[in-house]
Amino acid sequence: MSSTAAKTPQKTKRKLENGKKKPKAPKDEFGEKLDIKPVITAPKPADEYDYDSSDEEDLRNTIGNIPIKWYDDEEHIGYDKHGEKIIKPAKKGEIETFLEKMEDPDYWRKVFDKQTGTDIKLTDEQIEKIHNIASGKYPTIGYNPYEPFLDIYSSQKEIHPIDNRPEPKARFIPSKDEMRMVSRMVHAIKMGWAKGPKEKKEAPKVYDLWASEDALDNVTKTQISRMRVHMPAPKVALPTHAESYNPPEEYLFDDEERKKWEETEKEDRVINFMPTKYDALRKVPQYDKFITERFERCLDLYLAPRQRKMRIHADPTDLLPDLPNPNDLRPFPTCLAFYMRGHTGQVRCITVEPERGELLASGGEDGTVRVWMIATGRCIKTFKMDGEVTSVAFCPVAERTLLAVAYEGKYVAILNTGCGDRLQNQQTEKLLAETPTESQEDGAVVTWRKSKDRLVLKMPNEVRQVTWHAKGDYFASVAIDDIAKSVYVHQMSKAKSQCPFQKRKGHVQAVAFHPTQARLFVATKIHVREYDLARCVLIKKLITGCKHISSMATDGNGENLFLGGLDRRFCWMDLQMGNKPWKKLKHHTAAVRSVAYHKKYPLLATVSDDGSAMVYYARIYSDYSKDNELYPVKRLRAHERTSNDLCMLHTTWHPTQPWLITAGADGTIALFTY
Amino acid sequence: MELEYDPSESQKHVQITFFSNDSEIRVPDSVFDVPTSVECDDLNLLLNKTAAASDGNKIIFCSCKPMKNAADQWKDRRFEFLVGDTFLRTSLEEFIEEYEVGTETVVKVEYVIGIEAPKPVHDIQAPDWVSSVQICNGHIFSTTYGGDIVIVDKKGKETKLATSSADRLLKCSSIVTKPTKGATHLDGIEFLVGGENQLLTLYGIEKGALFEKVLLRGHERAVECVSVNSNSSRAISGSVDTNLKVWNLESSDESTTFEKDEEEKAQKRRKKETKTKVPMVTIGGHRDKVSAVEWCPWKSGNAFSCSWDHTIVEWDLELAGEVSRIKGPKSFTDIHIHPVNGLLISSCTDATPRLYDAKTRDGTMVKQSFIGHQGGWVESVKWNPLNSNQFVSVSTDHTAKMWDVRSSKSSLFDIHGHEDRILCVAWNEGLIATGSADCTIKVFETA
Repeated sequence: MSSTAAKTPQKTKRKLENGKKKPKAPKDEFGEKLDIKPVITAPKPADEYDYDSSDEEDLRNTIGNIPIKWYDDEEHIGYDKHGEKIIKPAKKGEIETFLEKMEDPDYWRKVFDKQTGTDIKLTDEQIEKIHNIASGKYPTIGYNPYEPFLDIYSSQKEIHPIDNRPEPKARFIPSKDEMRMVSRMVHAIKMGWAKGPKEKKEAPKVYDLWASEDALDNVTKTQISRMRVHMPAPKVALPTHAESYNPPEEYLFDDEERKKWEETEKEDRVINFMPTKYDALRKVPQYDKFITERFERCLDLYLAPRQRKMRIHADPTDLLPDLPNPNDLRPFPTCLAFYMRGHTGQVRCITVEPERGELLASGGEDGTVRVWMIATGRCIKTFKMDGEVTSVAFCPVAERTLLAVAYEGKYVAILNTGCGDRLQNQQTEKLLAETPTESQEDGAVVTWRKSKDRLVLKMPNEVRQVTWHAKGDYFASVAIDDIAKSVYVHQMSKAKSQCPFQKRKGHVQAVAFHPTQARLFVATKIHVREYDLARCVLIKKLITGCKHISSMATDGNGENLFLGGLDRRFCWMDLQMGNKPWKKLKHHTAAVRSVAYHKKYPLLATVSDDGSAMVYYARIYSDYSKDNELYPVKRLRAHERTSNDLCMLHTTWHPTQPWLITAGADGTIALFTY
Repeated sequence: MELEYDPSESQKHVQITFFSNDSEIRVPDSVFDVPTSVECDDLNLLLNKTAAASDGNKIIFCSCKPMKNAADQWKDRRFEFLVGDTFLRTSLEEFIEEYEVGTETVVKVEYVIGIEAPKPVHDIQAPDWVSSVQICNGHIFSTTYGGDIVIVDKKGKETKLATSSADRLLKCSSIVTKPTKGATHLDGIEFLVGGENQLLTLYGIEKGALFEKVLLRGHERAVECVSVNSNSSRAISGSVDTNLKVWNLESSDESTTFEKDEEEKAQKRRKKETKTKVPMVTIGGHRDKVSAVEWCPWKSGNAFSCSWDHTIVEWDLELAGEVSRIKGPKSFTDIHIHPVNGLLISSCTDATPRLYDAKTRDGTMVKQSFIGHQGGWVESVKWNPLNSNQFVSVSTDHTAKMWDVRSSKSSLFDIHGHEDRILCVAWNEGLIATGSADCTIKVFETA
């Protein structure tokens, strides 16, 4: 007995005896009942219409159209109209037949009628018909299929009219009625009464509810698929001995079992009925829960959707992407070495000395730029700025120990760090002193001036970012505000600034110079545009798929672009592969703040407000036939979240070592080493 | 001689016997049947009891010294136990499992007297982060990132010497004068410091005053490390500019003296003349910052250097060429070669000091890795010059660890106390000095 008896109704033994078909009441063609009663009519006098119908055969026998052999064993062969038996005529013997054949001249036209058991003599007409049919002619006697053709209209053209009526006058005299109508219309047009042709009134569309319920073209795809993949309802379990009307004794409940059955909840019962014994099947009463159970089963079938389970017989490990062992992708940073402490408030931006990687510069909310020794985390120099520092950038040329600093109060400063090689420091100092700041025109938007050891540029707007060109002469600045003239390109050797874009093309978030050519990547919130600065033309517009770009980094050749977005996304744009991203990843749970690509190692890092830095192994092949590789290898955590939900603000790679340096909103700089 | 262990315990037993090479603490040979779960403390107890019992029975130790008196009772001592060449740190069972020691035969356990834990002696406040420490003639010399030179005597009293604390940043130092045993005077000591200003300065102390003797000029970037050879005639220094430079320190030498222009001379005549020297040889070969240099103890013309380019290189300074190269797994931060056995201990930018044999030329194999530091880097390693098995490592995890070469899984002692990264360490004359970024130098006395 099934243990889930509660749900599926099981009792089928006591069915209503309505399974059998009732004899169908005769119906007319409209479906209404015909009141037919067998009427035994008194024998009528011979009716002239008795043999009128050709459809009906000899009506003397009323047995109907049944095989006559059923009467083979009977003495009669049927009944006549009055219900009297028609006695089978005595069978003719061979001799009798022969004699008849010899004697009767009409023997050849006699046919044995099984129905009546008598011979019927065919008429001449009938015989001719049979002949006609046998010889493939029309059965109708005397029918001529080739009647002579009566040509009513001759093909010849007659010169005389058939009738001699003169042409009516109306044919050639213009109609006055029409003229009057036209003049009325003209007048109406002139007066402006005329209305155009009446617009056709569209009949209100009526949705035909029953139109094509069964037609396949109105069935939706899911319905078709459901029809195709038909799923039969689960079968009801077969009845067991306990369900019998006369179950064996052991199935019957004793008092204890009955009590237990009654005490258990209806849903928890093992069987949902009590086995009962009846002497005879006819004493079994109508099953009282039949309707309920049938209804419940229907409800179950209807409400519990059945669906085919697609089972994949695959090793779960096969479904994972084929990732290489991270140990083969070493080196990459794995552990936090130490924090560099010194800033109060956020560290907004960090940059590493380009060649040796001994020095790190950081700019913070506290209005200082600090120079650190990376190896020991020692701050060796502090520059005080007049406002909160938003961006710092080391000059990529190692011979110039220059640092571009953007700070609030609409300033950009070029500092000589005074650290590192002393000879180069002196040369850089000389270079700064030689910058022709006096030669600028009046009314220039950006004013350059010298102030002690540094160059200071007064900008028209607050600056978000500064970035150097690889040659170390040009640098670009981006304004925070959403204005047309937000990007400026400055040239140090001439102390000149220019604004390459006059039209606003979106809120510029970041710019980056092409590492080798005079090109500029400008990232607005959702697009990146590549401009040729020498020819002043737009080269490419890239659709990033990011909703709000926050940072941008290029690889060493300028063929790939890495973008981080505030929508937690990271995009890898391969510029050789069209204007769509090659890879889009979403490994962070908060906004991506910064992206960095290592100059020597195939390493890429993104940092985010969620307090983690993702390190990727990102190998770029110069061979176009090979696909680039991108594997996440490590998630590094450091820094504490500040109250405004900021954590890691900026990141950069060490130029020679696989070390990652991150700037935190908690005022620390973290060094992750291999 | 059976120690009472509960016989109901149904565990494995193993037979051990103790022996020692030190005749003073020798106990009679006997075989003990001990359960495998015993640990060092149990063995200590067993050994001490055995010794005391044998003492009581007048079975005198095989001592070469005459016994002072019969009442010279055995004093409980702490022993360390060695099986084979490895220290027993865990229970015997785990040890047997790990090193697959045969248990059918009697396990021979060597015992040595356990060394005492280093005792903190002084806590010296430095004016800035300590960048290097040296110990010489009972004095502790240290340089700071603020450019100060701090000299402290053994009692922890700072010796104030007139220093010109210029605006500079000192990173490394080396004692030029080799210490004479037992001397505690300062006069006549010369030492060499290098720093971020790309110069090396030779300081001398005379009559309690510190003065600049020679300036060594030639590096293009900050000087990272310096080392003076055993007869104080040559110094070798490494720098961020990836070059090694060899300097002649002999006072008679004039060949490398830098001759200033006449005009400059005239300008600076008023100032006290300090000699300026240029390097004898410049050796390039590293691809990144040179982080430490060491003279070869067994061949005077050779030196070792380690760099951030993951290599340790042995140089022949006369030929200015490379002799051998050890490829390491990571950037090296420090190396030190034991003057006696020539083993090279190195530290990388990870938490594991590694032991190499510098004498084998093809020695890229790590002989031993010492696991114990908790994250960060090991900043510096130093051998104990008095014991060829012991060394100390300091790490950015604020601890220093004393190690024995024979015990790689756990350190001998952990030295806590610093509140920031420890940047440098020195071990000499029975003293360990550690300098840290919390602006203190802590001195520990070792047995």
